[in-house]
Amino acid sequence: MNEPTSSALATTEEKSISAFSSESNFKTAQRMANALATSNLVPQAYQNNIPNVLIAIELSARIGASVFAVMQNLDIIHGNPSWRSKFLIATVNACGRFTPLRFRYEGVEGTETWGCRAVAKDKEDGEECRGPLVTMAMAKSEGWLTKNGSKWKTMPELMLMYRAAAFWTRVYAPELSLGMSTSDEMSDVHGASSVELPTALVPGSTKDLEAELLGTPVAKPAPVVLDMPPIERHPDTGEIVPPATDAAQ
Amino acid sequence: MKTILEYHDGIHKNVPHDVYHGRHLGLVSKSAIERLDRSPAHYKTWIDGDVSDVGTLAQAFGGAWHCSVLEPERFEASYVVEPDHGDLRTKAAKAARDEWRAANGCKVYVPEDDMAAMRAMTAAVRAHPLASKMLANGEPEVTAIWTDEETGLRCKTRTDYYVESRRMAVDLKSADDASLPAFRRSAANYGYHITDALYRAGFGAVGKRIDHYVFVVVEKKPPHAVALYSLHADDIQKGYAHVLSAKLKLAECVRNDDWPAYPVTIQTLALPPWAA
Repeated sequence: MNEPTSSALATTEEKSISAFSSESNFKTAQRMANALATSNLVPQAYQNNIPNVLIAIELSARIGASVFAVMQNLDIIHGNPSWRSKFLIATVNACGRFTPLRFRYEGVEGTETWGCRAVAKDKEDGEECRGPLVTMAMAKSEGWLTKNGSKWKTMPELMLMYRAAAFWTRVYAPELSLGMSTSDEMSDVHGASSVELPTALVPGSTKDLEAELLGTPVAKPAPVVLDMPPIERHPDTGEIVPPATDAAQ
Repeated sequence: MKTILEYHDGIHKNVPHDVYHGRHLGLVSKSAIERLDRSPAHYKTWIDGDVSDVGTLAQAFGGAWHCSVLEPERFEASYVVEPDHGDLRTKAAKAARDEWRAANGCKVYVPEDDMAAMRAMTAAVRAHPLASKMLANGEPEVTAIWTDEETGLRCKTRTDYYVESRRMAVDLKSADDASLPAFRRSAANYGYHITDALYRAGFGAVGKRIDHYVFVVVEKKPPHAVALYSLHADDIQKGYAHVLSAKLKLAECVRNDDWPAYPVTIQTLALPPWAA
């Protein structure tokens, strides 16, 4: 048996729900969002935030990835949703239309001529798809090197690869990125203020601390309960079967 | 006496004050970041400067009060009220002072008014329903020392009080005004969000964790009101980004041994928002 690859982890074979395509899908997605939003395994931006989870469900349907993977790899930077570069690469690799992205270096390492481009082959006709060349000279002239906390100074090789992949996707498979930038690109525009706070550094609940110190029970908000029938799928196609309405009964 | 750099990465208790505050090129701390924020040249000057700076009167007061709250036994043994010896420009007053100090040994002399204020502030903390419980079952002056993975720089922090079982750090602050608007200004002016992020990152790097970083703020004057604050996650995120940026800047300066001051070009000046 083949071991699962990282790209396999990012996608789902199950049919995803396009949350905003119909009323019944929206209601189903809302139920899913309600369940996911109460989990403490999802990133903080989605905890107790049903609208954010609904958007993640919609994005996962658009790109064919699992909702959980989308939530783990979608950063909100200065109000803009942005993909993590590694996730974007995994999505391209898993889409099935191209061979996995590969990276070719040009120029001399340590100089401004040093650059990288992403390449892949179109599986349908075998044509090589060569992405734009990203060089250190470009990083310098675009000001990416001088932003606060710029990773271009400390890990230029990785940043060249990430930026080359982002450019490749924009040219050959923009539908996979949905037109959104990568988190690294946003950091290069806005500086390190867009750096994500590591999960281990996220503060705990002050209400819980107060309750613990005072020895009083923690007042948890009551979970939102939606009076809806369970999700039903067609046994053969796996598609979601819309719940029966009163008129149909 | 060994320097702070000779301590291994981890949590340390009882690191002597002078050792902890020793300045070393490339060692990341909140004080170092403050200097570096102004310019690398200011940081380098601070590093090369006199370590025996006595600090301001407010800092001396804050240090004594910290001791009063966190280490009451050491406070009683180390600090003593010094009576008013009169006009110290006179020989008689000076002689009285010297005689009194000789009799009291190597203690820290605190004016009577300050001692009264410290005792009242400490009592206010002890009487506060939450603050009193926060300052129990933990350790005072806990130091974290670690090596930053990204830059290889050594880093240090020292929290006023750490309660490992609650994953909580307490930062004691004395203030003229502990109200929310006033403390918010202080937090912005003194970069408390940077302190918060650095402490969380430091303890996290050595396998500990700070879930709660709470400022216990006590007013210096009656009624010695107490207020508790913790920063919003968004501000901690800004602080964390600031720490990352400062570490990279410091690493680059160390690598190149280059310590620039301000830009040599003419900078366009924009008035601050409140004046525009």
